[in-house]
Amino acid sequence: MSEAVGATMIASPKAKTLPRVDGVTAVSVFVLIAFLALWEWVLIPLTNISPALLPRPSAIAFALWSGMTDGYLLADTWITLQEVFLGYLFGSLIGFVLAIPVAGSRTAERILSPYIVALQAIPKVAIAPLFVVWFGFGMTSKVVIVSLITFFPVFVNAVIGLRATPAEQHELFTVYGASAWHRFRYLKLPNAAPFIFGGLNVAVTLSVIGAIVAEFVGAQEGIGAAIIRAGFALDTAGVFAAIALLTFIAAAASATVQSIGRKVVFWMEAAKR
Amino acid sequence: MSKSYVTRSGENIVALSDVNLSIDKGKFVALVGPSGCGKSTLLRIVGGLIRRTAGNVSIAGTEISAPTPGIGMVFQSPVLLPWRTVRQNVTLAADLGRSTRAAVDERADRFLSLVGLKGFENKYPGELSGGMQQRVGITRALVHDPEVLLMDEPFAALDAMTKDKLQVELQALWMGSQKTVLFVTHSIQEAVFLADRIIVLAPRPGRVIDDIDIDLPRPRTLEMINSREFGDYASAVRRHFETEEVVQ
Repeated sequence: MSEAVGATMIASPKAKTLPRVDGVTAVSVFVLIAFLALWEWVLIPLTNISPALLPRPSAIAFALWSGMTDGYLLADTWITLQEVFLGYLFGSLIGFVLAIPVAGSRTAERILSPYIVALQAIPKVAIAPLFVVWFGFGMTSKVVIVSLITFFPVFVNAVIGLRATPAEQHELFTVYGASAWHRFRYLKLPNAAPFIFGGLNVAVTLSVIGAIVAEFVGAQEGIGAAIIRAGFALDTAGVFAAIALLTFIAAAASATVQSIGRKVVFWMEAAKR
Repeated sequence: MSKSYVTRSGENIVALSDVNLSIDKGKFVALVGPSGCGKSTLLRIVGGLIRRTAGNVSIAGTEISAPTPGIGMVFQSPVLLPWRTVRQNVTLAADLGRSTRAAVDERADRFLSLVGLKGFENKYPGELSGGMQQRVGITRALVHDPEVLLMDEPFAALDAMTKDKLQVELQALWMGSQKTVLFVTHSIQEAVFLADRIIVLAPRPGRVIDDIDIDLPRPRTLEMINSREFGDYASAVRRHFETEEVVQ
């Protein structure tokens, strides 16, 4: 009996997921290569379009390579990564901490939620210039804007998650006479974890967008600033290179959060299978 | 002891009316009745999960109004925490300060091997069958050494074969520990098989209509279900539900 259970548990992911993912990955890589090849060798020569409007993929790759080795794009990337990381960290943390009273008490919810909803209703792009005025052209204003953008999805999901504990599990803890802290630590928090990671995953891509928007409004450094600089210089390949870099950063950050999430809330994966 | 509550539409419902019971230490008592007779409510009041309207409940002379360490509870569904292994689920009481870690660990080992879960300690609930999950639920309720074990239709969600097996196992566990057990069920056969004493409840208002001592030798076996004595006890209980049907 025990061997049979063990065998199916180990065998199923190997038998099912690995070959399928391999095939799908091959197809999706092929689509990308075909797309780039058509662009490089069919679209550009046929239309004879100006490189200032649409550069070849090879020119973009070269711009990316020289930008990274030259140093200026590398330094910009480092700045943007710091803004994204710090803003994401603070925003998520504040969202989670505020979710605890709001999820726990109707009174706290009634006091806090109008302000939180109002804060979310304000277009962040519209108030970004204010933060630049208040906190300067440096990193602080960007971190604040990224925090504001990442805060909400984490907050909303954490509130839902902290209320998602099934009634019978609460009864079990009541029978044990569990304290409020034990109930939070051993019951509400683990039940909220899948929801919180859902929010963190939405927030991570938003945080990259937030950093770029903040840099557009006023910055000398960062990938957003690099896009503006390249645009003014009609260096379209440089713009595309920066966009490619951004896409990669957002995708890698999202994949990282997802893989951490899968490890932390492992029991949800098992339930799906 | 009685319990009544007001529904949302303002109706006053008497869930339990003047229930007066005293249960001897170490006895296995089954509460049997149709749905709506308040048997689960009675169990939950004893467990301190719901408040009674009038009267009092006491265990070994101490009155209870809130959950006490003297109680272990098994629910209809196993109510396991999916992020904890079998062993971590069973020893939850230690994390919640209900018992010392050493005492819980020692008892967890003993009970887990008693219910045939040795070797499954590090599995997660999602990897277990329904019957195994409920075994974990029962073990968890026993691990902090309660005086009274409350069981709320613990086998109702299991298939017939698993149910039979678990009834035999529960009897063995109970004979080894001599806990006082209050067992809610709507299965007459289950009640006769397990209990020393069956309390029959009737609905609207919830009240005790019979109290039957089951004098069958232990350990009882599944073959005994077909014996005449067993059948007599079962029909003595069933009789009440037939008349109840006629009255309505």
